[in-house]
Amino acid sequence: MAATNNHVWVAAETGILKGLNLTKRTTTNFADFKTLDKQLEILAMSWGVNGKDEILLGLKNGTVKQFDVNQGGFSVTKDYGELGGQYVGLATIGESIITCLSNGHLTVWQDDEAKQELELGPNLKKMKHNKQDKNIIAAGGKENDLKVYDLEKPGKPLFQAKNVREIKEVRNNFLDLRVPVWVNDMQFIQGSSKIVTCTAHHQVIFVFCFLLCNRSVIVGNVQGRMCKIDLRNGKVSRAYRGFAGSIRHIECHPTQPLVGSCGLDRFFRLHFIESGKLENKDSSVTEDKEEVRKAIAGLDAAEDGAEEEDDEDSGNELWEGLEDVGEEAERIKRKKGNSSSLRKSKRTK
Amino acid sequence: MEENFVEAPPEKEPTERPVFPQNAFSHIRNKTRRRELYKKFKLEVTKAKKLERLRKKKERETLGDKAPPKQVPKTIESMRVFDETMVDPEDREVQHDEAHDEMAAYFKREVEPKVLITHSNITPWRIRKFLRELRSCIPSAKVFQRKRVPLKTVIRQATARDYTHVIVLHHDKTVPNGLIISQLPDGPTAHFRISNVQIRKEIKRCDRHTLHKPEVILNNFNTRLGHRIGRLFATMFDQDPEFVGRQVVTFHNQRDFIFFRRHRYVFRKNMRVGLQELGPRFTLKLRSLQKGTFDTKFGEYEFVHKRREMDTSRRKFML
Repeated sequence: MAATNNHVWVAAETGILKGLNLTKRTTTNFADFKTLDKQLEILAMSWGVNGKDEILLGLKNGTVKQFDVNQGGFSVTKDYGELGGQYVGLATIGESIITCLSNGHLTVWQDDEAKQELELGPNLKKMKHNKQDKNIIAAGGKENDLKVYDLEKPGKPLFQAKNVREIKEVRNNFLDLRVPVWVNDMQFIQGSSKIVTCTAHHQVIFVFCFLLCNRSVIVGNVQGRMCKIDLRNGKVSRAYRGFAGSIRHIECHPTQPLVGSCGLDRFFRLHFIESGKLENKDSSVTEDKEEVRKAIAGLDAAEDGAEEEDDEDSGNELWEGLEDVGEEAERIKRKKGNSSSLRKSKRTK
Repeated sequence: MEENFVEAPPEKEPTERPVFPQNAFSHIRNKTRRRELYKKFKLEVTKAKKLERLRKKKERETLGDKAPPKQVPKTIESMRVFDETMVDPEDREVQHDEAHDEMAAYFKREVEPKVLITHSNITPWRIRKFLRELRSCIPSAKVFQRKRVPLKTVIRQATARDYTHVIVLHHDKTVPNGLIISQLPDGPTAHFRISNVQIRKEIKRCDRHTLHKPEVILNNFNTRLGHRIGRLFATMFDQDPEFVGRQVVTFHNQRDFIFFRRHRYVFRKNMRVGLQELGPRFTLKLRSLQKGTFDTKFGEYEFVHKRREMDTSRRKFML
């Protein structure tokens, strides 16, 4: 069964990969229910080495599965042996696959052999790969502040974030105490050398502040609040409504002014970025009564896919008539915690 | 004079019933006169209703099967806003999810329930009494004094002692106002608002319970969220009730309010069954459902009730 007509791919905690068709409002499950169990929980997702024809899924049991979009089935399963951690990030550079584990072990695999290895420190929460500069990755976690590496020069990190205490010019804490570190997610900003991170302590931190060309980030929290924050003044410029539970992942469309999000309330929602209107409380979950429990890195693939579908499907009403925001398109981050405390915690270097 | 104020009934309804005129009497300045007219009008309405009822009854008796079918009353429940998460028991994904969730071990009879009940730090007599009665409903439960121990510590210690649930009752000025039910060791944790607590002493014609394990009835938990909450309640009770005791614990969900009652059923005659209430009584309303055990700082919520956003329609329900 071909699965090319799906706009959004969502991975569930139960181990099910879901394809959502936003125009027909249908959901397709790609999983074998007989063999599914908790060990097959999908923890990380990425496009495969052949671009958008394949999706890579990092499972809890340590294997990496490859889903073939054209065939609509799982093609290859790679077992990288005993790992000692959970997947926090998957990416591809050319023919090789990057896997990153929660114990800080980053490996670049080529033809099932480890080509390069890096230690990023314990308690890692997220690893992101820069889509523009393919050799650059960023990672961070609990008490493990943001690090940026160039894979071609692995000896020393390109950038190592310093805690607020160590930066003498900026002291957020008036008692001059150490601020706890818990990086939850990060995002490279398109068209610039900036990274935005968000923390479990309710902060959005903007590092690499060279140029302020992109203005806003969209963040969500565990209580189901999602808002857009203007990075110039640190204020909430738009709140999005309709969430019942924790938001696990947010991703915006590369060209259209749309933002998709999903989380523990088992819904995929599509909002207009500017107006905050709910475009599609998606059928992801609605019609087939599907659940979207956990979508890690899933929509990344998803939204890109959506754009691709456009050209093929001329009757795609959803995407038609939407104006192109081009370079102005906001990039997204997610954060955990309470949005009200964001204003105080924004800092620029 | 009143004929002028009573509007003619709409034409489409041939069985005329006086229609209540909007502000028809409000322009009369004399209060007594206004009231009189209104009273008279109301009397007419009730009379017409009664006549209509009698007419229909007669019609049903004479026509038998050919009589027009009885109209189904429109209630808030029957006109419920469509909910896409309503559970279809045949759905394979739902079946798979429920076979692998945190509560599955209980339903596979791998664990026996063991419940710890505690309260907030200062407990007045009525709260203690209520907790003792709650304990009597749940056979495996024990009540512990809180002794100012933080809840996270309580949960850690309870997990170490193989408890499967922790129930915490909060109160404000002796009136219970919050109930936390946390399943151990992996959650979920549900936070309810508790109201209308009546202990046995306050219920009329309330009998004493026996020590038999009760049967459990869960009514109207139909959505995905409702299923989860219903399953959480079910896991607190033993799987094998002692039918000799004829005791039933009911969690009845109506319009998102969960009513707790305990009864003993009595076989009066061959066909008739009576209910004897055993107490206590209380009402629960779900405020949040958290993944994992109690953690207000970093815990993730599966559901948070947001009144401004969610209570947009009286006919919309979550459970």
